[in-house]
Amino acid sequence: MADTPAIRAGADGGTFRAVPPDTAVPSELGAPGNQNLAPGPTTVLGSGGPASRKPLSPGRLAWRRFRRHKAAMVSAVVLILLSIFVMFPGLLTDWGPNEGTGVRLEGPSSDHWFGTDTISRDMLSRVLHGGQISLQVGLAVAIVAAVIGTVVGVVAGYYGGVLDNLLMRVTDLFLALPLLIALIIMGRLPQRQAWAETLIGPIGSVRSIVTILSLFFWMGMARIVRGVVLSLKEKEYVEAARALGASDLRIMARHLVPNCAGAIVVTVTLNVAAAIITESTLSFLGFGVQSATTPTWGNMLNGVEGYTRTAPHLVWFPGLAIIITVLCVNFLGDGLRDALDPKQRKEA
Amino acid sequence: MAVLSYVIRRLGWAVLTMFAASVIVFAAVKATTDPAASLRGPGIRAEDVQRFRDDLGLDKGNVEQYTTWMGNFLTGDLGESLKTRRPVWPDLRTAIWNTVQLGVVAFAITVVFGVLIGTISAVKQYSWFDNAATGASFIGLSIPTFLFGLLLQIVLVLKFQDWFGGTPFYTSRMNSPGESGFGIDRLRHLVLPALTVAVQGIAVYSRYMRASMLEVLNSDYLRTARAKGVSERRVIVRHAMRNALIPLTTFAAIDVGAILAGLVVTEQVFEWPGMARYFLVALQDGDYVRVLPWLMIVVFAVIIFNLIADLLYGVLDPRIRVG
Amino acid sequence: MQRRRGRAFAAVGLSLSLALVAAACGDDDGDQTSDTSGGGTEATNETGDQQRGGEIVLGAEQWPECVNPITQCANSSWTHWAIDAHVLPKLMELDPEGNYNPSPVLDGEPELSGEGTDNGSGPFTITYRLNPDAVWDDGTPITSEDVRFTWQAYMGTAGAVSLAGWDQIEDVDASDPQTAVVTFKQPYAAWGENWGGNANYLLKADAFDGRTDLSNEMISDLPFSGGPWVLESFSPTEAVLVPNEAYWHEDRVPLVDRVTLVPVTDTETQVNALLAGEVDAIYPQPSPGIVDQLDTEGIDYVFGAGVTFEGMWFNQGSLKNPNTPLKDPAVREALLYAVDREAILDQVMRPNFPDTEMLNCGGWVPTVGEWCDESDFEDVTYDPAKVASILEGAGWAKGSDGVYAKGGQRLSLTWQTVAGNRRREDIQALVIPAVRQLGIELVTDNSDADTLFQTRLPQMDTEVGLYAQTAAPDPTVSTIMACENIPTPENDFSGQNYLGWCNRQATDLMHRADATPDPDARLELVHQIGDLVREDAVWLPFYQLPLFTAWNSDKLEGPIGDTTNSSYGGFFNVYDWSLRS
Repeated sequence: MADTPAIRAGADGGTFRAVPPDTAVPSELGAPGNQNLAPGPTTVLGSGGPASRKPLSPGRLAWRRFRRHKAAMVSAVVLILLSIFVMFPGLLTDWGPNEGTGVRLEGPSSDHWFGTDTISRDMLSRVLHGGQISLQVGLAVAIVAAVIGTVVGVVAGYYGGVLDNLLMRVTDLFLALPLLIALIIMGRLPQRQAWAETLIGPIGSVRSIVTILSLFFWMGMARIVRGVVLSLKEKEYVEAARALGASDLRIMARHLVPNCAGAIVVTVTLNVAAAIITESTLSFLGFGVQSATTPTWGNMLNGVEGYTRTAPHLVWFPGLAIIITVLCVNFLGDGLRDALDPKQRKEA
Repeated sequence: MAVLSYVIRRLGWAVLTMFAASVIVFAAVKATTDPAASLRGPGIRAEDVQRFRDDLGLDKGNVEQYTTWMGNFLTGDLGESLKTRRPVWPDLRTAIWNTVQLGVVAFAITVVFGVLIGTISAVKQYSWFDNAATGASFIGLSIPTFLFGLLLQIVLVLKFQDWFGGTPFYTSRMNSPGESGFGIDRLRHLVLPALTVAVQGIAVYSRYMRASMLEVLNSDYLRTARAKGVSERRVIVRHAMRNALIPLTTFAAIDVGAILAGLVVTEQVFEWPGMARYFLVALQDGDYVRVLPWLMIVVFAVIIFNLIADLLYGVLDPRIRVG
Repeated sequence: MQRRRGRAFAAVGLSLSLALVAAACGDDDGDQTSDTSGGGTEATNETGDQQRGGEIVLGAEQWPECVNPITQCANSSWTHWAIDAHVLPKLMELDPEGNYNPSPVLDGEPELSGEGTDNGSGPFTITYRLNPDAVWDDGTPITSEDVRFTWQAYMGTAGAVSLAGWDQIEDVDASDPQTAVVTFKQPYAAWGENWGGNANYLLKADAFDGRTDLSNEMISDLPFSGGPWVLESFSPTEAVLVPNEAYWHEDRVPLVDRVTLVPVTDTETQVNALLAGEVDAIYPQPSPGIVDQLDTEGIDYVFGAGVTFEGMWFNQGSLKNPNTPLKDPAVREALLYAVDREAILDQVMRPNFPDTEMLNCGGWVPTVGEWCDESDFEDVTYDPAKVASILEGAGWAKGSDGVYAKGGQRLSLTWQTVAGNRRREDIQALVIPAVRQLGIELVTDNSDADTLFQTRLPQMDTEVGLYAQTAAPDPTVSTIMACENIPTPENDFSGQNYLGWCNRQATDLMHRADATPDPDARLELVHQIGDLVREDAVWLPFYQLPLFTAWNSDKLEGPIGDTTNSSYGGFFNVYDWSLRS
């Protein structure tokens, strides 16, 4: 149990079977060994499965299924709108995010739809600009984690043996280190050591937050991808490719990874959501992006708990921004999973 | 037995991991904190700080400090805090127990409600219940913990007092002043923090359970059972749930392992003197004597429960149960 | 089969969250009673009208890790505010104005004598006459033997926080039990701090079997008492004070039966706990919005001004940027006029703490003695024209990007403060754009509190710093401003002069002031130091940090809040608090 999503991200938030623990458990226990039940969605996007019965292409089919998930559709629309406004704040407001408006701590009004904050800055502008950072962080973390996790997972799953063991144990080490410790260590090292500063990024910068958070999200992806790869390794087309002389790299890149696409996509969306929340928690703990010149939803919430009842707009607008965005991303992920994994819906 | 050798191999890796972690964290603590720095204040001269360093042996080589500590640790001597001279183990034990209480209660709530909600959602897929539960769980997943904790304090304590003149819950801490021990008072204090932790857990577990149940409900295995004439209720409870719970158990095992160091925000907001608070104070003091045993225990717990999860997965694999 | 994923679930979910939102929002109406009386004279205890008995629960914002008054734990204010100051006796004690007065343990003012008193060198002797009524909680009298023992304990304890003052004592003559004659090697102006003052106490000789190394003692208990209270118990989650039955000083005999202290370290939770009635009083750090939340029926609060002050500190010896523009006196002088202090007070401080005053002296506070000479920084106002003339007069010229440059170096400075501290980050947000328009570039470079105070400041890894310093009631500033206290690799970065300021004349004055017990002569020296601080534009003072005591006025009555300014904390006079009948 943990109260920060990053900690659970190591075990994924959706495709339940995608926590394929170490599958080298000996068969005395009746364990499936390398043939564990296909974790993650058996992809419809890949080219490995049996020919589908319907004449529609797999992509079309997935889109159809996605469309049926109303919440996911609504969420997609909301997210698109949100992205537009976040990228072009000028559409909604003339104020800059750090500009003093002369009106302090005013609630929502016609001049300031989201009110103003403790030093007279326009909240709407700050929420929109803050969204740029928060969304960037979310996406960047999820993608970096996906890249690292996929590489580790494919390599571990494909090669097996000692390499697999080693990689899985490294994964375990990362899973075992508490978020707290790593945060603090990584949060402080760049200020003491120049190499840490180049590697991680200057303290309080977006880059450092992305680096630190990615280290907590790749493990789940690695496990999921490894699971899929394990189930696909023995399939005929892989054997065939090998027989034809394809290199390992080619097999991994051309055949295995694309078949994981479904699982990867779903996990990425869920990680985006988790990363946004974790960024806000980090700011609450005092480790986030520095706020003097860079608003993020997380650091806008920092230090304003005292106003929850007296100037609630300070808390609710960034708070709701987080909640709604994360909600929509989660729904989107749910819709994607439904679209890509038909087994989870009762078929007609 | 292959299983035994497997377990032993994993435990071997565990020891290695713990050792590696201890070295890394020791280095990090030494690099980023300075116990003598807690002495900053008016009236404290440079020579006072120097003398303080000498008194506490802080200038001895790092390697020497680490090996001394490790040597003591291996013989079971956890030593005394560098700052307060209090023996480490009793306070650490208390912190473990405090976090365990909170974690276990939250876990119990999570599992019970998560499984129930997930099962019903699956059985009545697309019903209003399913939709409401889905909506609620996604919202639960989307609220940052500290925000939710704050809300609970405001609504369940302050607002209840306004509306009803009183409240059975408390904003913080483990016991009312003067009370101690695990009784009704403690349980009343546990409600808010446990709910804060559980709200996300329920969201996740109910989604898991739902997905797992749907999987099972659609399986051939169940169709066979139904065709045989087994009552629907029996089908659901005896067969479907049992099978659906399997992947959940492995996930739950990992979750339990993460309890010890996982309740950072909750312990801070609700003033719960558990493991997270213990670590933060120790780190602030630069007190590696307190930080390292804490780390050993946390890492060990995570590894052990991951191992349990792996073993469970092997034991409970549904393929054995088919037929 | 219908497959409706209607919007129903979204509606339900959304209305759930809206309900939560609605419940949590909303105004509290109630009348506000706020006295902004900051520290008056110590209240007389008119106990005639107050009822006796009952229990009080106090919330502590930080929790002492142990109660030892000599070693590390003593460096934390709350060790004193929560426990030690209520239990352990002092010889000279501070009133809320920062004056040293004889405590109930003494019989009259101590006598200063010896050649050193006048001419600044030579022996210097203090004679303390002890009150014959003064007894420990077991009834045994407090004697000069205790005074002597205490000196030896402070000197002999491993890991003692500071020996300032103690290591200048030549001897303590305890031949007469009612009189302690203390001989110093040199005159020592801060003599009031020994056995009392801000953070020192008088300890009981008989409690330790002759041991003088007390590093392993008084960890979770104080085995004796010479104050109004006895420490009944102390644990990481609770401490209990009960009245000292043997206490001889009528004015401070407690009215209630029991005071329980509990930690509530999260600021928001602290406020909620007070509002919920789980604690009866709090003494919190001022935080944004806190006053608005406490403007409700049944809660009273009082403002004070503490000995902590904040401003922009210039590190001339920055190792982060060894060629820092701060080395140029013109740059520092220009910065004084480039920052709009009035705006900071108006926008950041006064909305929450209406009485916050601008601080106009460089190392002291006006509420403690006469040391603060406001004329030092009074003339420093926001003056863009002056900034330009000072900089350009020193050879700086604006570059194409609008930032001043000289000899290829841009006037760009990094600015460090505590990350996540809303007040400070707001100040940065206000100042940075404004200053940029004047041609000075400030770049934020914040760290968490531990890193900033434990690592960066001591290692001179800062340039412009925004943080708070404590003005000890004693006006010495040598530790933070004298040349020998600059942290360097040679002294293992042990000093606290984070300003890297080395002015020989000022340092000399500091040493002389530290050795001048005569208050008038000392005052003159301190004012001269203040002038030099201004002359060298060493730092820019902003304000004294407000202090704040809040309590449940439905439940408690008495002179609550009168010790808000006191070095001993807002709870110090809890002996005069009682339950409302």
